Order: sequence, then structure tokens, then C-alpha cells
Amino acid sequence: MIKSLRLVAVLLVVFLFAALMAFGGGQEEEVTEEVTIEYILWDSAQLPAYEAVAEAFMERHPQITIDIDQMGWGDYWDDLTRRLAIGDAPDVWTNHVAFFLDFAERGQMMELDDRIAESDIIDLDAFMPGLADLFVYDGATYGLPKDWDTVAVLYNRDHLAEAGIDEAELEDLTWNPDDGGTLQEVMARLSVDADGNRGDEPGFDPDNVERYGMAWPFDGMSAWGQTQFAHFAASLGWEFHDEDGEEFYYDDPKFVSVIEWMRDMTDAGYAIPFEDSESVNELFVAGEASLTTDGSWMIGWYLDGMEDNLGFARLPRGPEGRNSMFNGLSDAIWSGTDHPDAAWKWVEFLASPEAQEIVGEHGVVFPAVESGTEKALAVYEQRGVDVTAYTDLAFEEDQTHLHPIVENATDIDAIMEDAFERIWLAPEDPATELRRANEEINALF
Amino acid sequence: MASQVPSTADGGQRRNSTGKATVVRKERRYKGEEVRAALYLIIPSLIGFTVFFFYPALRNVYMSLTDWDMLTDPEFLGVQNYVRLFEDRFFWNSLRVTVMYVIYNIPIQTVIGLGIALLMNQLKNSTAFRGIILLPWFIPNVVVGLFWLMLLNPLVGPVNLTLEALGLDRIQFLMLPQTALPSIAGINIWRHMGYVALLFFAGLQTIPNHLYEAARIDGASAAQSFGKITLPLLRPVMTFVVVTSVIGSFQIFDTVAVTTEGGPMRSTEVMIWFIFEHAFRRFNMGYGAAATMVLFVILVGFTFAYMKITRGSESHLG
Amino acid sequence: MSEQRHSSDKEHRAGTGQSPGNSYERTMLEAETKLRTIRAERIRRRLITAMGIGVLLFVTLVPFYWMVRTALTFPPEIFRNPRSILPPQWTLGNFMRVLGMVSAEEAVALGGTGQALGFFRSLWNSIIVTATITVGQVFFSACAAYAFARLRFPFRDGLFSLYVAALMIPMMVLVIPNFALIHELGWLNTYRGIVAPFFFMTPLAVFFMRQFFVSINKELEESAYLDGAGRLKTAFRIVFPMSMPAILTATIIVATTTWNEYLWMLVVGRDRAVRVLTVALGIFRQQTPQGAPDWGGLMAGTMLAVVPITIVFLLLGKHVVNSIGHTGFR
Repeated sequence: MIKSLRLVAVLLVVFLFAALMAFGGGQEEEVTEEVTIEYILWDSAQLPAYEAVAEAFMERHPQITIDIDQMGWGDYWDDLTRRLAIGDAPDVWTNHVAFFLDFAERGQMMELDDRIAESDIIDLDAFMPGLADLFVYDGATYGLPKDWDTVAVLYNRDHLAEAGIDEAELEDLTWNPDDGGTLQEVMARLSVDADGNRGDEPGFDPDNVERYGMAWPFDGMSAWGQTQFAHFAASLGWEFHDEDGEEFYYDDPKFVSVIEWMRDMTDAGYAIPFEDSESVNELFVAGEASLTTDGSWMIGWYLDGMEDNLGFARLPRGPEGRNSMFNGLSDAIWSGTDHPDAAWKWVEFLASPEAQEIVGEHGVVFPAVESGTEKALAVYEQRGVDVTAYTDLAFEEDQTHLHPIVENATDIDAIMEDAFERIWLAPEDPATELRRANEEINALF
Repeated sequence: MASQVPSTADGGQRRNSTGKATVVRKERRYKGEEVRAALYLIIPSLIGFTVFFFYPALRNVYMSLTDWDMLTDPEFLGVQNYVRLFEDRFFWNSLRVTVMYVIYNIPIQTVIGLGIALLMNQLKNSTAFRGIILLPWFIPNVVVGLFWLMLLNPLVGPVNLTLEALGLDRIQFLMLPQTALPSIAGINIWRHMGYVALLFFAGLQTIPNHLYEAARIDGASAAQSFGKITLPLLRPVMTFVVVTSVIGSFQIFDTVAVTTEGGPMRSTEVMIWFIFEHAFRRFNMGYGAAATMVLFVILVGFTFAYMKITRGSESHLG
Repeated sequence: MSEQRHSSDKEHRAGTGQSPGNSYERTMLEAETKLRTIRAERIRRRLITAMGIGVLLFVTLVPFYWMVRTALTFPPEIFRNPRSILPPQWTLGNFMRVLGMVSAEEAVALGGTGQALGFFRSLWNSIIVTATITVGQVFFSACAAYAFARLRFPFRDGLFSLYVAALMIPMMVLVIPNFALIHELGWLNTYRGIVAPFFFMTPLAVFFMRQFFVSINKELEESAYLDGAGRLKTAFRIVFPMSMPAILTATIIVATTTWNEYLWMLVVGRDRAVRVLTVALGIFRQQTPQGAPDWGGLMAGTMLAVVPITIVFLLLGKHVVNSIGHTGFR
């Protein structure tokens, strides 16, 4: 019995090896005229939308197959950088400003200007203002706008009702770094400790909070604080860096005051402390906190979890008004692609009003083409959801500021993440820590 | 490497009276048949070793002497990367964190594993029991890490809810610098204790029962049997377990990658994470390669030191 | 046992007539005490064993139970009702999503997001890759291990030290160069590319089995050799069958390690055609844009991934038990 086992094992090995050699697995070589374009994105919520766009595209261009792959945010960038290094990158990828300059400097994206000029479908004016300039480097364009996003406040309607707060009160929240404005008042009112005391009542115990007023979205907080602090700082008139993007202002007293205030809020028991903020947006949905701030790309996700119980409010008005961070994505073509023409056709289509209207109809993001955004808004309206908290800021003047586009973005992120951790956890003095971090950042340039 | 039939000083073969070829020049005597058999047995592994271990390792050494960002050509730097490592306090931090992790992890894991193996021994015929104990090990590290992330959630995770129900304060396991590393160690102990137990269990089976019987007749207690029979005879297995566990622990990555990513405040920034960050996120391949070489030297040093100290490659049975 | 020594002492003393009283009664009393102590010891040992087993099972199984509970819970409820021991809102939706049985829209309604796991394809890939690597690696490593343990040949110890040194090579060191090599061979995203570095040996497998071979009794081998069996025959006909426990253990270890391998599979086998289960799960985990995993779907996927290998182990496990009985050991 043992002997035949041995024999079987050997035969199995030989067979398997032969099979592998023969078949090898993996994709077949492509037939000459048919082309497959590989496209990647990270947001799984947008996958159905883009699959629909791909279908529409493939009807028009039967020889081109669009192969869409989705990977989560972290894996996405790891995978992309690795593939670029090896020279086997996807033909088209969803691009983000944070990494744009790094890719541009390394010549990894295809220049699009000539093709844009020749295109019948692309209308640069059809895009929301400011978006088309985001992906320009050294005078050349490396991406067409895809969508845009802003940030707003989200609230739990039941909690508000329980606290006796009228939703209308949230329509014009104010904020300042000294007493936190009406935002802080609301946060205090909504915080409840284990004995039932509210944050603005005597006897409130910050160490024994049952439900927090605010959930700072600490998950994934980067140097830009897109959903965490950018709006507070900007509403003080603060800017991330100078014109050239080589000197940063994280040590500016205005910025320091923002961080100090945020920490005071966690100390006071009005916001979930950093160390308790694991899976913080799930916590919000589960009702551990009554307020949070997040970006418009998350609307669908929160709605799925909370349905009618969710409300949106505009960011608070600071001493210099309201100011949300404004960001846009684009699609980049790999400079080393084997199929530049097909890839361009796909990107061209993606930037067209037709494609962006399809995306808008799925009601997940706000497409860059204005008509696409209108479709998205209509979908939300049908669902009975009021997203003007997000769109108001985008459509009015001076209520948004762009996501920073700088070099050494990865290093800056690392330095600031480190600094923030020390401020929340050690806890270090924000002023000293931020000054130290800022020096480190400036030293990079 | 292929060993030829050993020849004499004059280049020819010589056969002695028993018909076996012998070496006249060297001290050792290699029997031709043995050498041939060894050849057949070793060649496949040698192919694998040379192509997929030896050559890449050399290539890595070369990379450590260059500045390479994966995209442009490598630029030769000599030992600059190593100098920079020496001066890099984050590198020393990752070294310290890794050593701490090994200290948290290995002793507890080994002791628990041995204990479980003894328990398994009592239930020798229960495959179900063994299967259950091994279950955590069947789950990919990636998922185990994520899964414990949920269990250890500060506000809504079952572990903390239980603590609070018992009247204790909640512990922000993976979120605080003081508790993050021990928590990672705990997660890995949970996952590996069954595997370690299985190894010890296999080793326990090789100890002949008659030794225990003889001991009992001589009046030895359970503890004495354990100390004088089990432990010494388990030495090869123990060596194997400790050496491979330490080496494995030094290379912990998956769990950290999906839970803390080196934080909070670099308290879980283990060496492999440090290397990964530099190599794959900052495009610093050469620097990362240099760090891997340092890690390699450390592990080699440890293994030889351990083997020397315990002389663990010998068995006491034969 | 200590009691035996103790009692022989007592008998001795009784025999010299140092204590008064009926010696027969005394003996009976002593016998009874002895029996009670033995029983007490046995009960105590059983109790400790039972407690140990109980704690062990609890610590091991409760997290699994929680995994099952989460897999069966409607996703938004997972954090909303964290205290409930039973799933707060039962659903099979997570499994359906993971198995790709629903469309993207339906998946969203069930609490997840648009992506399917590609379960069956990646399961098949995992099986192929794991089976190939396991059979090859264990077999070739066992051969080499035997040679190192029992045969004498030039460079033997040096080569073995080299293999052991390779044990200490951190995987990260080899991933990049091997990846580059596989790429240069044009084997990326193929089964042979994934399998190649592991097919012939790993230092761990050779080391493990060599340690084992070194520790077994030489007598049987030597008698076979004296009977005229060649080295190779001795290895295959006698030593290997005798070493079934170790070989099977090695098989299990290699199979499970390969089944659970993530980094290498991700780097070399990204295509859906060759993607293995761990990669599929890993990609599936970061579903929501903000980073919190789709716990319901993830737990369902994990449970499905665990089932095949548990079955295999249960089957192989029986074999382990049987072969222990059949070896030459007592």
C-alpha cells in the first residue's frame, strides 16, 4: 500500500508538472485586431457604474474589450506602484492628485494634449470649473476630469430629535477655534454619559461617555485632512503651503489652534478619542456618535447603513466663511501601454458627457461634467435625499479650496501622520510637535 | 557540486578488497554508491535552491549596494545604504520592536504549544480535537488580523464589551502604543499555538513508550518523567520549533500590515514593515535591500548561537 | 511512583516490628490509602486535563463562533448590536454575495458593495497551486533530507548549512528578485510562475525532515542495508514509510502554508484566471472606500475558504493516526 502511494505521488508530480508546462494558466495571447484594455479603480461602490459605462463603450467599439478590476485603496496603490516598477502596469488607471506629481515626474503617464485637441467628444468647458487644470504638469495634460467631491457634516436624526435639536439649527453652524461656535454647543448637547448627563449639563463625565457628539473621521487621516481638519483650517484663512509648494505652514498658529481645539473636544468627551476610533465610520452608523464629517463619495455608503435616519448639513462657517476641500479624480493612461490608441478611446469616452451621465445616474459620485452632476442630483432627489450640503459649496464662489498637489506627497503624509499620532496619543504639545514636523517637511525640498 | 567517484593521487580509481572504491588522498571515506544515491536525492532540491534562493539572495545583496527606485536604472552606492541605516533611528526602533515582539511571542507560544501537545497526547485518538485546535492556523494571516481587529474594537468589540461587563475598563488594544505590540503578539499566539502543538505532538510520538514504563517501574513521578525523558528526547523538535518560530517571528508582516501598519507611533513598526515601507512605498529598493541583509545577518547569528548552545542537532535515541 | 516507594518503606518498617497492632489490618489499610491516593491522582490529572481542554476549546472556538455569527448578520447590524450573542438580523446575503450569486445592485441592497469574490475560480486555483507545490516540495525535500541525515558525501555539512542559512532569508528578500525572475521568464500570471520557487524545496521542509530522520532509530535501516538493499531502496521502502508521521506533518504544514500564502500570490498571480483564494479575499476586504472592511462578506468568504482545508485535514488526520500504529515504534 505504501509502495503504491509512493508511485502515485511520483506520477502525480510528473503529471502536474507536465500539465503546468503545457497549460500554464493565465490569459491567452490576444488575436491581432482585438484589444483588451485593463482599467483599475478603488471604489467598489462605483464599480457597477463603470461596468455600465464599459458596456456602452464596448457596444460602440466591438474590437475593444474593457477589463475592469477593483482593489481597495491601500492595495490599489501598492499594486499600481509595483506594477509600474516592473513595467507591467494597467493601461488606464484611476488617478488621484496626491500621487499625481510623483507619477508625472517619473514620466509614467501619457500626454494627452494633442489628442484632446483633436477630439470631437471632449469639451473642456463642460467640466466643473477648476477641474481641468488639476492634472497638468509642466505645461502638459495628463488626465481628464472624472468626478469631484466636497465635504459636509452628517448627522443622526434620531439623536437630534432626542436631544431636542431642530435640524434647521444645523443649517448655519458656526465655528471658531476659541469656543467652537455653535458647532461645539451642538456637539456638547449631543454627548451623553453613562448616567444620562449631557455634555452641556453639570456632572457630565468625559471618562464615561455612552454616546459621543462627534466622530472625528480619524480613519485614514492624511497630511491633508480632507474630511477632518482642512475645512476648519481653511475657514481661518490658512493655506497648506506657499505658491511654489516648497514651504509649508503646519506650524502656523492658526493651524495649531485647529488641532488644539479638536483635541480639546476629545478630552471634553464630545468627540470619540483617537484611540477608540477604530472603524470610526461604522461606529457612527451604529450610533456611537451623532455627528461626523465626510466626503460626498461616501454618501451612498452611509445611506445604506442609516437610510432615513441620516441628514446632511453644510460645514460650519468659520471666521472667514465656509471652506470645504475640493478634489477631483482623473483617468491616467500608462505611458508604456501597448495600446495607446485604444486606451485613449476609452479615456476619451470616460471624459465624455455621455459616460459621465451614466455614472451620474448610478448616484454614487458627482461626475466632473456638469450634466453628469445634474443626473446624480436627480437620483438623490428621487431617493428623497438632500445633498445640497455638498453641492452648495461647490457651486458658489470661494467656498472651496483645492486638494494640495505637491511633490514628495508620500513623505509628507508619513511625517504628518506620525506627528498627529503623537499629538493625540502621547500626548504631545501640538505647537511643538507641529513645528518639528513642519521643519522636517520643509527640509524635503 | 556533483561528487565524482573519488580518485587516488594518480588520477585513477582504486578498488580495495571489498570491491568499494576508496579515496586515498582524503581523510573521509566516501562510498560511491552512497554518493550516487545522494546525488539523485539532492539534485531536484539543489535546482530549486540555486535558482530561487541562492541567486535571488545574491541579487539582493547587489541591490543593497545601489540606489534603485524600481523605475530608473540602479545607481551604485557602495556601502552608503548601510551607513544610512546605522544612523537611522527608525531602523533601530524597528529592530527594537521586532526583538520585543519575539520576546513577547516565542516563550509563551512555545510553552502553550507544548502544553497543548501534552493534552493532545492524552487524547491521541481524537482527530477532531486536533483539528479544532489547529483551526486558527488554517485561516490566512490576512484574515486573522482583520478579524481580531473587529474583536478588539475599543467601543464595540466583544472582548472589550466583556471586559466592561465584568466591570473593568476597556483596553484600546491595537490603538495605544503601550498595548499594540503585545496585542499583535497575542493574535499570533492564538493563530500559531495549535501548529506548534502539532509539531511537538509529532515529536512526542517518536518517544517509545517503554521508556515511560521503565521510568514508572523505577518509581519516577510524572514531573520527573517529563523532565528526564520527554524534554531531552524532544530536543531536536524543540530546536526546530524554537529556531523556526524565532525566524518566523522576526519576519512578521501580514498581521501588522492589515491592522496597525506600524503604528501607533511606530510601536508595531517591525523590521519587515520598515523594509516594506521603504521599498514599496517610498521607492527606496536599495535601502530596503540593505535592511533585509542586516536582518539576515541577525537571523543567521541567532541560529548558529542557538545551535551551539543547545547542541540541538543530536538526538539521544540512537 | 512515589507511593510505591513510600509503601515499600512502610512494609519494611512493619516487618521489623516497629509499630504495634495487627499487621494484616495495617496492610489492608495501607493498601486502601494507596489506592485512594492513586485514584485521587488520576482524578486530579483528569480534572486538569479536562480544564485545559475546556479552556483551549473556548479560546479557540469562541472567535470562530463570532466569525460565524458575523457572517450570518446583516452588515449594518454588526456594529449596531454588538452585544447580541446570536446574529441580530439573520441573513444568508453575505454568503450569496461572496459566491457571486447576486448582481451588483442586489449586493448593495444586501448591505455590501458591488464586487463579487470569484469564489469558485479562486478556490480551484488554490487547489491546483497548493496540490502541485505540496506534492513536489514534500517529495523532493524528503529525498534531500534523507540524504543529509543518513548518507555521507562531499560537502554534505556545508550544503546543509547553506540550506539552513537560507531558512533565515526573510521572505521579503526573495520576493522581489524572484518576481523579477518570473517576469523575465514570461511566467507572470501563470500557474508555473506561481509554483516554480516552491516546487523543489524549501529550506524549512528539508530542515524539518532532516531533523526527524536524524532522530529515528538506525537499526532498521542498518539491517536492511546489511541485507543488501541499496541506499535508495532503503530510503524509499523502509525509512519513508517509517517516517509517515513526519512526512504527513510536513505535508500538512506545506499545504496549509501554501494555501494561506498571500504576498507572493498577490505579486505573481493577480489575474482573475490564476488568483488564489487568499488574494481574492484580500482584495475583497477593502470594499468600502473609507477603509472599514465589509465584515459580513469577509467573514462569509473566510468561512468558505476554511471549509475545504478542514475537510482535507480531517481525512489526512485519520491517516496520521493509523500510520503511527503501523510504524516500527512501540
